[in-house]
Amino acid sequence: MQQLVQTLLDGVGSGMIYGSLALALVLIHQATRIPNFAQGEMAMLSTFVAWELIDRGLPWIAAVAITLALSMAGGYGLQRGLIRWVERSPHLTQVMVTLGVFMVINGVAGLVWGYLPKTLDGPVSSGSLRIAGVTTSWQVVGMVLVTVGMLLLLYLLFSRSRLGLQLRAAAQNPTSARLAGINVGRAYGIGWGLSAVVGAVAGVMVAPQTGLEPNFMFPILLYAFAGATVGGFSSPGGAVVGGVLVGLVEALTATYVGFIGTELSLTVALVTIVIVLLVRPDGLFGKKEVARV
Amino acid sequence: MTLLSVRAMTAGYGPVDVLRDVSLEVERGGVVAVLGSNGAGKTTLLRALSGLLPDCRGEITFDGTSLRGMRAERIARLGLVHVPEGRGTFPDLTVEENLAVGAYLNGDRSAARRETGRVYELFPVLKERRRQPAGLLSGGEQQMLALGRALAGGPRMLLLDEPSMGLAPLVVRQIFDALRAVVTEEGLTCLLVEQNASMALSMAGYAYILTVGAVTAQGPAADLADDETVRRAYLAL
Ligand SMILES: Nc1ncnc2c1ncn2[C@@H]1O[C@H](COP(=O)(O)OP(=O)(O)OP(=O)(O)O)[C@@H](O)[C@H]1O
Ligand SMILES: [Mg+2]
Repeated sequence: MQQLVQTLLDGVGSGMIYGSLALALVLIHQATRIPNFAQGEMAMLSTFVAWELIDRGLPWIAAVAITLALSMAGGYGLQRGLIRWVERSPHLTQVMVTLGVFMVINGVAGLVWGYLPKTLDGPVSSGSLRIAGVTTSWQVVGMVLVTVGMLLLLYLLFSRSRLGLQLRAAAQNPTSARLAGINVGRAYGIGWGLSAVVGAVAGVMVAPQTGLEPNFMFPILLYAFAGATVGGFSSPGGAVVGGVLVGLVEALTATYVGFIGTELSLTVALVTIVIVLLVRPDGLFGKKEVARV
Repeated sequence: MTLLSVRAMTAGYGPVDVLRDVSLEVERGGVVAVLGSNGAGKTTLLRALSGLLPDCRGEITFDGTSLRGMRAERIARLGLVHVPEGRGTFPDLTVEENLAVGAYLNGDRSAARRETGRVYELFPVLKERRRQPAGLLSGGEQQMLALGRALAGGPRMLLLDEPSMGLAPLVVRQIFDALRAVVTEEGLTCLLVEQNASMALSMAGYAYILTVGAVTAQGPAADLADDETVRRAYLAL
């Protein structure tokens, strides 16, 4: 029993990370219909920036705040400077471009910071916490709180604010949005910026556990894609739930299915995707995707 | 006083010119109809006016401001608002949210609230369904919403692309009654593109006939409605 609760907690903890990055993927997909394979590397770059700022003596909170602001600007700039030119291109072209961004960021980070893992401190002590015989860490508690808070903020942004409504309008019908006075290009840029911020949060949360090196986000990106697919690419909340489900499946199988262990857990994630897609092609919470003409 | 003037406009898609040397004028507070059959270039004309066709040539001025090279979103913010063909609502936004997006064109919140209230007065069915996604509305309700979204922004002039298309006669009447109400009560200026010529001519003061991309006839709407060739071609009489 105790072990089960323990395992579930671990699953939720890593699931929150997958969910955050899945949320970033869905935001971009909603805004511009592009599957952003560079999402993990963008988060990695943001995390290195945070590490660099802390290394130069800034307090944690200031370093992270600056990092988030830079991520917003970077995501915006990337969309306006590069991605906009393939907005109307075939899907495959878009995928190649985001893969290109992936490799450029990965290579540059390797050149600047090297491939030896660095330690990024968390905001809270890495101490553990015992409740009713179950051990968990402050980090897991923090991750859950941060993800839930972030989700709430995004929900309020997209449902209540002027900017959020304009972003949704621009994504749904760009021509009508322009006729309503919305600068659609800027809206897409802001969409990318927001998702870079969400990814940066995920990176900063996970790095204290995994260590920071240029490839540290890659497995997480795969789990995030799994989460987004399971939850449905059209549902931001579903993406988070999907990420948590993937985290739970990963933790449960690693603990209880002896031969799987940690080596095969990625396979398990992929099998989960296939099963969900067979039963519900649009994901658990997704809406039917209408083909864009 | 002229609010919108178009001089020698040529526009199209890529290398293909659809409109050739089109000139027209709309007086402040006036309703001008543009009639023409399928493919005559009516939609192209409105798209060029609202800035959706970047490489159109000729001179367009709106209230003394040249619109040459101006982006669509800036033209909308000047108060020249295009209600597109096929309605173009935001399907996953609720009716309320669709109207809110339109109402952001108002300078301030109280104006936005007032104009939105006016839209609900004109189309009570939108108020009843304000929490439903626009994608679930009927064709007529979608057209009301498209028109309502434009009106919610407090426009100075509307560009209307076939508001009667595909709708039952009763619904068409409802929409034109609402339109007539804003035109007479608030003096809103309209450029109305229609295939439903009798409806359009009954509302308009002046009309142009567009045939394969060129203006082939124009005059006071009443005169055109009496003209034999126009009657035969567009009124199916
Ligand atoms: N996006 C486009 N690209 C290329 N050609 C186009 C495009 N849209 C329209 N055309 C062409 O431009 C011409 C005029 O089309 P337009 O839509 O302006 O006509 P219309 O008068 O609005 O017709 P309808 O009554 O059917 O709405 C047609 O020959 C059409 O084939
Ligand atoms: Mg048309």
